[in-house]
Amino acid sequence: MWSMLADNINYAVAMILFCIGFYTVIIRSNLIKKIIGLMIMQVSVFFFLVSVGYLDEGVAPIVIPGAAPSPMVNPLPQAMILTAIVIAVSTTALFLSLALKFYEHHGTVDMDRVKEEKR
Amino acid sequence: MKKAVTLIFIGGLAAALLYTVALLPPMGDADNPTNRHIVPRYHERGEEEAGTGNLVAAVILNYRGYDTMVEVTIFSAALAGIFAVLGTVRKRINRSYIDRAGVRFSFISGTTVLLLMPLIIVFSAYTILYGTDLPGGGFQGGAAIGAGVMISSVAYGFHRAQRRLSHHVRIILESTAISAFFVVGTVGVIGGAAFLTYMLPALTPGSQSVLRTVMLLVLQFGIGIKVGIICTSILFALMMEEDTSDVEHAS
Repeated sequence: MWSMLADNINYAVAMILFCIGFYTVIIRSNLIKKIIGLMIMQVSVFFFLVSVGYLDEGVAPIVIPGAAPSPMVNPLPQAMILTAIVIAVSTTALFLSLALKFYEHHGTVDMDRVKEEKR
Repeated sequence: MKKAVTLIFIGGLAAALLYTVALLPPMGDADNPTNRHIVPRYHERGEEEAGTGNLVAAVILNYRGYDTMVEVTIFSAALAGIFAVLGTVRKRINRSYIDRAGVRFSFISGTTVLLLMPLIIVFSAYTILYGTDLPGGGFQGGAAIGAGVMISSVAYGFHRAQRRLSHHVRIILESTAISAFFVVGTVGVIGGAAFLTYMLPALTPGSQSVLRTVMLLVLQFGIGIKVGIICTSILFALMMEEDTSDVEHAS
């Protein structure tokens, strides 16, 4: 099992990053830190999917006329992640604008403090 | 208590995920299902079918063109959400904490941005133009444009950046990507095939490949301008402030 984990070290790191992000989302009461945790989860998924497309000794998936044919990495995950990164930016901006509105309303971005005030 | 329960839960999740990872085929093996299923076709015939040597661009614009076409509207949806949450331009005043800061304008940062801006614009245009043959494309070039607008609006203040790139101009520029997709798709329909198939009316023999490259460039530029403007609009929406009592600081 451990040798398999060592082979798939990229996948393992992506899973650990995902767990770190999930832990941040659950534990932190600060909204900005929750958003940072969500971004860590996003990045871990990107990292995992790009790693799936990796090929040993593969070159970038660009056909150069006249060049000797060599094994190329999988272009499909790269294309997916390219669009996903830009979408991640816009959704993160949406989260941040919600956090901004939360701050304007409550005067804080800490969820626990808002709960205490309500009591 | 909450922390302990969460730690146990996350630990269990991590163990399950790592166990699954250990069962996956080794990374980078040429015999993996991910490297055998559809990728050989991309590698062998991608350049001939999509008309671009950059296979990532071929997947984005040709093989999964519909996906990208709908995906560019997601940015608009996210921007509409931001405007819905933060309020529209009319309710918010066009200045920000940068304009109200004690240091109004730094000569050093202004000059640096002035020197950098042409380089950034040339770089993004290069990235988009050569996206058909070399690493690059609309998304990357658009992100570079957005970064350029961001640093200039931070250095020169939000008020001046907003005047140069007003809301009405941005509304028009935001529709470039979907317009480009519409034009290119309709040309395919006129050419006698389905929507977004890059089939063209064969005007002269041999013009097909040139026209296809032109259509790819139109799409790349549309996506690039769209992504840059969306980044800019998000920044402007987040920088705008609610119209409060301290109007006397506005100049």
